Amino acid sequence: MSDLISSLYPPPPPYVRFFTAENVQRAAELRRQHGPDADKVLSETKDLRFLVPPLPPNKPQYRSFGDIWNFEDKFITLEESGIQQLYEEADNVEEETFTVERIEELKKMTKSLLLNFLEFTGLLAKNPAQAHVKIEQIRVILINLHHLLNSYRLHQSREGLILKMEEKIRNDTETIQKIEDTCLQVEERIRSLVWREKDVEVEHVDNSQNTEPSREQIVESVRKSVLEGA
Amino acid sequence: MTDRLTQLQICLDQLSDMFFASLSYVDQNHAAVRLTEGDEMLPDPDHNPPPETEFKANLTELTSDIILKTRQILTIIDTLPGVGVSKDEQLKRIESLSQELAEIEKQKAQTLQRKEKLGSMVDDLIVQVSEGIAQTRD
Repeated sequence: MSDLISSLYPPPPPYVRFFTAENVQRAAELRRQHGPDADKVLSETKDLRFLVPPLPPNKPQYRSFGDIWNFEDKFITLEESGIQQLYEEADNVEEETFTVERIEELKKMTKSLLLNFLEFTGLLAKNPAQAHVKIEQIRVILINLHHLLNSYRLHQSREGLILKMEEKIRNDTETIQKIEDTCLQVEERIRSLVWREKDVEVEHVDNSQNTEPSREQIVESVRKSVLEGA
Repeated sequence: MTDRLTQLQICLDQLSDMFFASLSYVDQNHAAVRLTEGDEMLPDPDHNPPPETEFKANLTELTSDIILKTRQILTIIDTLPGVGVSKDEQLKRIESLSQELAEIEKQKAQTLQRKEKLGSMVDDLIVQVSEGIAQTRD
């Protein structure tokens, strides 16, 4: 056993010694010569067998770190993982949605968890031999709880997205409002400078009252009022 | 801050940790009991249980911690967002929100444009007015 864990990393697989520069070159040459059949030829040639890339796996699962994993991400129901489902549910409920009933179940199970722990401590005091039954029950409850919470995950992501969007809309509306307010203030200021001057001019020029002042007029009147103020 | 769901999952893990911790505490710190009345109590140098009052107080603290954690979990469960909303409803809402958002973006661009225009107009005004002042002072 001790020589198995003598180095930090496991040694490279034995077939690495076939990946020499020479072999790689030979393989490339054979590939050029044989075209589409190259893989077959290569796998029949000595030393070059391992230079053929393996086929993609055709099974739905793979093993890694002693566990079995699915290639496809999918929601595994409690039944599939061999755990008793403690909560009842209508048949047509999607796994991804979250109903009021599930909230109730979550609460019920949390309370039940507490009660089970109490019973567990009692059992440990009175009859430790039976404790493993309780441990198993607590385990099932915890797994059920986590399962329900995990099934809520996607739902929450969508809900989070909605909240973020609402926030962005609110912020943008606020920004727009602020910019518009400032613009209005500036326009108001310019106008007031212009009209102050106009009041003086009204005595002299009557017809300018109803027409919008031209750019030059605005400039002229602003200049005057600034000068007066100075 | 993490989202409510992660919070809830962490709380559950903490709760199970607390279960274990309190059991360990009781296991390691409880006082020895006589099996038959009148037996002599032999001192054990490796076992020094705390005085009875302290042990009881710690037990009370551990239990109230567990109760509090459970309450916290129940509260978080109550505040989970979007309960009772179906997936379709959510997707529809996201759809309408994204339209609204696009609309707002457009409006924002327009407002910014208007601001730019006004800004350059004010710039012009300032330049022209100051030129005018400079000329009249000559």
